[in-house]
Amino acid sequence: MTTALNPPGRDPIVDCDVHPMARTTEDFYPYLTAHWRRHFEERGVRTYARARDRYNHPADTQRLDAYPADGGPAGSDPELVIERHLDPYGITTALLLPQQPYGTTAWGDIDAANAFVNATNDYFVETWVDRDPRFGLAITVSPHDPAQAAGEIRRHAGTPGVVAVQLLVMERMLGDSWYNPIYEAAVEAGLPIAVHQSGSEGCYTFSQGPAGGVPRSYGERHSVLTQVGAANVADLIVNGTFEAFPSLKVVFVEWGFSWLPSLMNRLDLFWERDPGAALRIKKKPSEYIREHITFTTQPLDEVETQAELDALFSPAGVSDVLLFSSDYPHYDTDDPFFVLHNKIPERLRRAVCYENALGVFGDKIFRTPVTL
Amino acid sequence: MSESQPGTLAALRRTDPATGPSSEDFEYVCDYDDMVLDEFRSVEIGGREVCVVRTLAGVFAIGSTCPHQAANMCAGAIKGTMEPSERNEYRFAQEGEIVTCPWHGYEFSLRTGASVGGALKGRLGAYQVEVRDGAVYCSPRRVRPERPVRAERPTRKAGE
Repeated sequence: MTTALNPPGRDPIVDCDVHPMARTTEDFYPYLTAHWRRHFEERGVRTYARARDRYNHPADTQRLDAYPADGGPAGSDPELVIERHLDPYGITTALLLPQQPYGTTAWGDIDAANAFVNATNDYFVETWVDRDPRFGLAITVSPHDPAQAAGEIRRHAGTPGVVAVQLLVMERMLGDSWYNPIYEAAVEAGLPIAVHQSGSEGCYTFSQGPAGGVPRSYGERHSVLTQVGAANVADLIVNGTFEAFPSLKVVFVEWGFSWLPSLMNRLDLFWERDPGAALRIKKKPSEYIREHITFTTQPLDEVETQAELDALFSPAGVSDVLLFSSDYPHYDTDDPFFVLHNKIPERLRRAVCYENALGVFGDKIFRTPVTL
Repeated sequence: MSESQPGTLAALRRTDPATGPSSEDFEYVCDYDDMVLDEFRSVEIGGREVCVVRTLAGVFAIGSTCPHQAANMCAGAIKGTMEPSERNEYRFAQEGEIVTCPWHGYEFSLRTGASVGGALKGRLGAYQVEVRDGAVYCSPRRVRPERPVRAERPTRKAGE
């Protein structure tokens, strides 16, 4: 007999952005073949093609209270994540989006990227997902070789606790048919695609950067990074990805959403005026967004007045596409109590906390029963 | 030990003359020598959690709740801050007088609890501390912030 995951009287909370870490990349080695293990032991692993190489962050990029007392990076001790984040806030499901694979977006070696990414999937299944039913993993796939990525999705299609596919983004935008084998496998496995920044945007030649050019400072980059998300939303829709894969769901994690009403409006207007310019789609772009795409809430725009807050949540369609996220253990985390009680309007709270998540991930988002 | 407390002792002397610079409401925190440099100690003073710390700049006590999203400041880090300066001229100052929030990195003055640069509207509580006979004491009374120097009003010329 299992007890309900959510505390009595409290709605379930699905936190759609939690970052687990291995203490060191060597922790992944047992999940590699002997060949690849030797390869990485000799050559090392570069896990960040990162903004930090170009920009000074204003603070440590991790929450100071998320570092394990016995060392290791923030987010590297699942027990501490349970103790500091899941238990106190009553988080029913934490969608785990591992970051150590992000650096592979800059790797030229296709096979090494696949081997490394696949090893991280097995590592997080065994050390996190199998440890607590509140951990749900987005297995990572790299787009270096879509057929191989599709194979990795199929390999984990039935793994308990695997609830999404974290697709790393390289030079091609998400509407490119290059990704079709990945989308096909995801649909077949009933897993949504989750897209999170890799931190490499605008940091090397073939990464997707914000519009206009490469920002010079961290603040500049952080503010305009949303453009990459918006551009990929438009690309997915206009290239007919959702016509080709009618049951595909895509979750945009940490790209913001306050730009969405404007983008939907502009896309709809263009399509109504000139449907012939987007022959692969058959209805208004905003309808595809409502049916197929969701957006996580963190980092919530920090508005100052109630009117601005209302404006953030009132546009038509926004309430159906938001998923709560904290970004634990990062320094720009949104505190669940604070955001859910002070910022998210009462009328949207249930939708944002778990109802929209159920729509995207299905029942598997709750691995043990919840009380609704 | 108390000679290295210029800021806080000065603050103590600024207590309200009506209630007086009384030691009665000061509660024992710990022995001074037990304070690890730059490491907060969480104590309850007057029914409220207070974070007490010894830094290079003295002994300070602040309220435990960040005014932004309520992170516990006892997990914060002791730092200095980059003061406003000309372009390409970096001025790092106030070392040991600044605490940064453990979550979002907002900076506050340990002396006054004010948000550095006015980044946040809210502020931390800053409480009176005293080092006496090798022990640290804290009061539930706040350090009274220094009055800002009032800017000279430009005299208005007749007819303007």
